[in-house]
Amino acid sequence: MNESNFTNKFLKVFGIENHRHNRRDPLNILVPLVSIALALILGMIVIAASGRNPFRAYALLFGDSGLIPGGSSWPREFAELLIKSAMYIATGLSIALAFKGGLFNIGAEGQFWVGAIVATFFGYWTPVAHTFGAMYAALGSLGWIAQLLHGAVCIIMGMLAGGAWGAVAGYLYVKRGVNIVIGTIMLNWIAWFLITSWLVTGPMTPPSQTFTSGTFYIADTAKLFRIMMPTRLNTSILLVLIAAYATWFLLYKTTIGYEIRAIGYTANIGMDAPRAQGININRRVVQVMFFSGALAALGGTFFILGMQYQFPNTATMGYGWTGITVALIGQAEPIGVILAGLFIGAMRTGATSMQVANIPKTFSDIIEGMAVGFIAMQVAVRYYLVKIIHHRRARTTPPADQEATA
Amino acid sequence: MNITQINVTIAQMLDYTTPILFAALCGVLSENSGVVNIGLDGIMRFGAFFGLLGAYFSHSPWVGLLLGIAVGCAVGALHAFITIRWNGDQTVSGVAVNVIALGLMTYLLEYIFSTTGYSPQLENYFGAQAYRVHLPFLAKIPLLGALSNLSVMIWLAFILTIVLHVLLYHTVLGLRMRTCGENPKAATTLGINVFRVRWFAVIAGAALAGIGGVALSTSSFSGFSDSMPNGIGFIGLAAMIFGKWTPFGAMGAALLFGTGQIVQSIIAVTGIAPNLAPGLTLILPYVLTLAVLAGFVGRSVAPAADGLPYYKEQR
Repeated sequence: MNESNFTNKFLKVFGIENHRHNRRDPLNILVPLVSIALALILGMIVIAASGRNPFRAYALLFGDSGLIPGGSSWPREFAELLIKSAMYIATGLSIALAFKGGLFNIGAEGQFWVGAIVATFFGYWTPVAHTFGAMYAALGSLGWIAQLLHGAVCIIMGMLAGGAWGAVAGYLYVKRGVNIVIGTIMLNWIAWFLITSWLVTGPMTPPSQTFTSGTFYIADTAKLFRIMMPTRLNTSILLVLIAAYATWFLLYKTTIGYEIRAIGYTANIGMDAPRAQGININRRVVQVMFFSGALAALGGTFFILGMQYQFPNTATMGYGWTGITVALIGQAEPIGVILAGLFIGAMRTGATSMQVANIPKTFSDIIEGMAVGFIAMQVAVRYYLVKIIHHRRARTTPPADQEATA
Repeated sequence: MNITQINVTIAQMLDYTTPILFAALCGVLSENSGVVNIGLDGIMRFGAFFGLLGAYFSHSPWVGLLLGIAVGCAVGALHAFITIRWNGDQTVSGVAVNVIALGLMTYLLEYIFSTTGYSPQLENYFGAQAYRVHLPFLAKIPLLGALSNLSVMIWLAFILTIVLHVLLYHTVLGLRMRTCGENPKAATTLGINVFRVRWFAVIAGAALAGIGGVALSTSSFSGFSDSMPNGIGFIGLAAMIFGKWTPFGAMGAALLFGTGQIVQSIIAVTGIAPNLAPGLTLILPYVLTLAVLAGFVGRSVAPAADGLPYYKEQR
């Protein structure tokens, strides 16, 4: 009793209260959990069907995922888990926020890379890098202020650019009627080819070098602080938690957030109610796409400032796509996105170890894809869950019209 | 640039066009009945891998083609099951198909061939001389000479475009499909089983995407690479929109995008603008598609009920 009171007070300090009075349905939590469980079971069948030991595979997958403390390699795995999760949570939040506004922002991928390339640019661009370098030298023992400021400049510029990239899709949607899914897919590829086949191999590559691995390296002052020294764990996970809190606050504690949710609730039926209420839908949609793009770009800046320190020419797509999985498993709630992001980060970390058992590390994609498949089919999952629950409670009345609830 | 070079370039362009066209036709069939299929990129990946698998073990690309079609149908049935039987979100289901394809094909590639990145190369594939369609009487004619020695898959793509046009605009089934895509309620009123029509359209469309995948791994290339289809499914989607959801429009767009893919080699051969970065030409199809969608180059409007689940009981 005391404990729960304390928890409530503690949460209230941060403004986190139980706000979903109308959505206390335990199925909201059960559906993603059951989807993951079913996907893991199907994954076992895939492994067993290819003549390998599923229990050994899963022991490797979860044993080395960084979730379970212990062992000499655990700190490194834990750090990898958090570094990966930070990026997945960022893109997951991006897509979750857009979902709340009734928009499917498949463009998180492109916004992620726009954020990454802009952060790279402000990390190495001579005027900026020299200014902060000089400041670092001048401040002496207070040099961390220069690092903090340079990092902040890179992150903010990256987020602004990613947000602008997202807002383009929003603008085309409200002004020219371009479907947001199609528009963002096109913008993804435009960003990707402009960055990887032009900027990274051309204007942003150091000249007169025989071997180049990508763009210039960013200045030391732009790198994110490391917070667990032997490992490369950096502040990205803390920043993304702040971003998650900000997203939650925006959605549930501000007028803009209320209007965004009003648009999202009615997106499929014409948005008459919010329009009658005087909400400027066009402006809000562009804003949602801006915030969404900025969040995805935040993940992109982590990729550069915390991991790569340059834009590598070996970068492969996938962070934005993973963000879709994260947002869907997290049911588009910031807290759910954090948990789903940690889960997927853990799977990706542990999957590398599965190669010992001759299982490619893309195995986690199979699990994630199947989990998304079950979430797409959540009407069915809910239907059968309700059936099972009712059966357990030995009720005789059939579950009437459960299909309509979802 | 002499006539032989032009012919080679045209043939190369048609080679690039074919998988894009198959993907676009998949979209045309599926979306005209009202089901968005963003998973067609994943279905192409399935088709590409299983097409190679059949061709590799039977030493005949035709077996690969059949296997590719079968697997395409199976994945299409999964998409239909989720989106039509259970009214699932069509985009989410498509994402699921793409992600599963990404992981599962890599898994199977390493499991079956014990290699990473690339499958073994095929000796008997549609791109090989023995499997090409030889039309010697065309070889002497300028420009048409490019058509004298093409892969079967290229011809198949263009023939299927005509078949699809006839199906959609000159048969009862096609009219029913388009009705389901425009106004499923009206279709139901007329006694059309919307669900059955959509099931058919999605599975038939997925079969086309499967063929597109087979064309990629056994005609354009002689093997499967782990990066396939490298976004071609999405280019196909763009081509479908650019072509205003019609088969011939999609064909024109696919040809345009195919040309976009060979701009680099044209630049190399002709020496025009040698310093142009590849990134600036690669984005052309996508910029054009956005321009069309935004109404700068003629409006393109989707079928009215495209992407919406159909609830029979809903008002």
